[in-house]
Amino acid sequence: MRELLLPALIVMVTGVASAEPVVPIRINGPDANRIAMIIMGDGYTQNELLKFSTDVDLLVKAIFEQSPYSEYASYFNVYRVDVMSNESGADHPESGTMRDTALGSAYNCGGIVRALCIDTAAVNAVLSRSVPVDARDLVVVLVNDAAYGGSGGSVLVASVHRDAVEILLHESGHTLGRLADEYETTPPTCLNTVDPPEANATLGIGRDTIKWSRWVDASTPLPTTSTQNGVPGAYLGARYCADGLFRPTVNSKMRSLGRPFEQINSEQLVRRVYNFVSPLETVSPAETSLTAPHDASVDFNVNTPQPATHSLGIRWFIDGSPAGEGNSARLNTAGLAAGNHVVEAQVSDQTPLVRSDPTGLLTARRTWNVMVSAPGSDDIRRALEDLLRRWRNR
Amino acid sequence: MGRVRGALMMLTASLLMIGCASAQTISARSFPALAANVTQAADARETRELHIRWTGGQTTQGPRSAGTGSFKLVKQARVSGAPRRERQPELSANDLVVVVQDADGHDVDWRIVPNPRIVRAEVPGPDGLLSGRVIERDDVELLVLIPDVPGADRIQIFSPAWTGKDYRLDPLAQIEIGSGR
Repeated sequence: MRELLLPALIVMVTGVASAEPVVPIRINGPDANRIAMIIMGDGYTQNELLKFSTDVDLLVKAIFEQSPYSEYASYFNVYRVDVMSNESGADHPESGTMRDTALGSAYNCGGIVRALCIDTAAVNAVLSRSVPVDARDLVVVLVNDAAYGGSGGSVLVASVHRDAVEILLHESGHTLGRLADEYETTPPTCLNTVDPPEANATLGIGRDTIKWSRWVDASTPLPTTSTQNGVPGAYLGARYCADGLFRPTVNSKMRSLGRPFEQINSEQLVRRVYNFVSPLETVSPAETSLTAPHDASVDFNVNTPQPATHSLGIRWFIDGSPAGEGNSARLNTAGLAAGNHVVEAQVSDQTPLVRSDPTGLLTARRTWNVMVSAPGSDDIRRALEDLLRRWRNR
Repeated sequence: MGRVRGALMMLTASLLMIGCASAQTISARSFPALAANVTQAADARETRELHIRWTGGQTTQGPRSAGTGSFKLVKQARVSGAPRRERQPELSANDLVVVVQDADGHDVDWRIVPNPRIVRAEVPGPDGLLSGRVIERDDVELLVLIPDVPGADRIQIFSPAWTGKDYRLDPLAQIEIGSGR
């Protein structure tokens, strides 16, 4: 019975009758400092919700097996939303098969047989009913249909076909990573007269000015014609252009499914993860201004998220001078002059996945102003308080 | 997530059938200037959730013309909790930018919102090499989350256009949202 009750207890049924159960799958920290991935199902009938649970577990496992998501898996919270459909599967307009599903999943979107789209209003309605506003960073719809299919955009859509996770990962490169496609075929339209905004496509390939210059070895020719995987350079063809634009590696998940993201795309994805997640998670004391008597000690503490295979660096400074490393620091006021002193914790992720962090996303700082009283002033204050108390009690 | 119940219990849904004002009344603006000059509210206790139906017109794939399409606020609700505040928002051509203004036309907040019209339909060939199309759907619901800041009276919706150096924001619509109470 306990085995049956536990899942029921963690299911959060909301106060509105039509709200869908939201089930935590992976909780690694507060939603406010995690990327919340919401996975809702479509084409799952009431009798198939157990299958949905299994499908989600497989999908999540497959997503977080691939770098850089594997290293930063603990920066995500994953929730499952049990959306129930009247019928199983999805619409296949190309064959005349139609299904009554909650989110209106349909293949042949835009006339492309394997493009699988959903009804955004139906997804929004589920979000409104069931998901808090700070937990909607990445919305995924998993469609209970064995045919290969998926799409990207404001909602990531994938069928349960075993290879569909690859298209979902590719689309996350757009949605989360702001990455460009690295293939050359059109449509979409090729625009190769201006430098594109994305981190993985470039017009100019000067050795010092190319966007990913820190990844390019001095011995790698630019442009690069090597066919060896995983060698950063400048490879002709990107963003729907066969000419004029360059991509960073000969192949990657932004060009072909079944490939790794490779260095430059992974770097951008990690930076984007830190757009949502601060490397500084909790601090103690919570106040930024403190007073401390002379000859006392004050403890400071910070906590950080924890990547899979490395820890974040934490350095402490007192009045600008290095004062140690690690999660905690102690300020001994005995050696300090009376007056204001500044304690600073500086947290940074030194991951080898990121070589360029121009806006400092991988670093966070916290400072405390500590007013240290003069020697003896605390004795005087206590004596005055004692005198005042006695006077009041006369 | 435990806040869902409380949030929805206090949800004050209201149906507001308000037509959009003409986008010709607003001007294009620069995204870097917006991000530099308008601070996103950090301490809102509630969020206004706006459901906007967007039909017709074109945004990114076809010829762009300001104010194309019809925007209609079909529902708004006030829910507990603040909307996500990104540490360093990075805009993409697949997004929209929503600027919140007070009744005097002063900017009070802004947000990046995924453009629900844009659907990427990409498929692999036998060797995994992708090809694809960007489909622009012509009847979608845009979900906008803005902090419940005092004085918010209307929103302006912009579509980003990359100039080669930064993003210019082309106006799409202005929608009166009132106090929502």
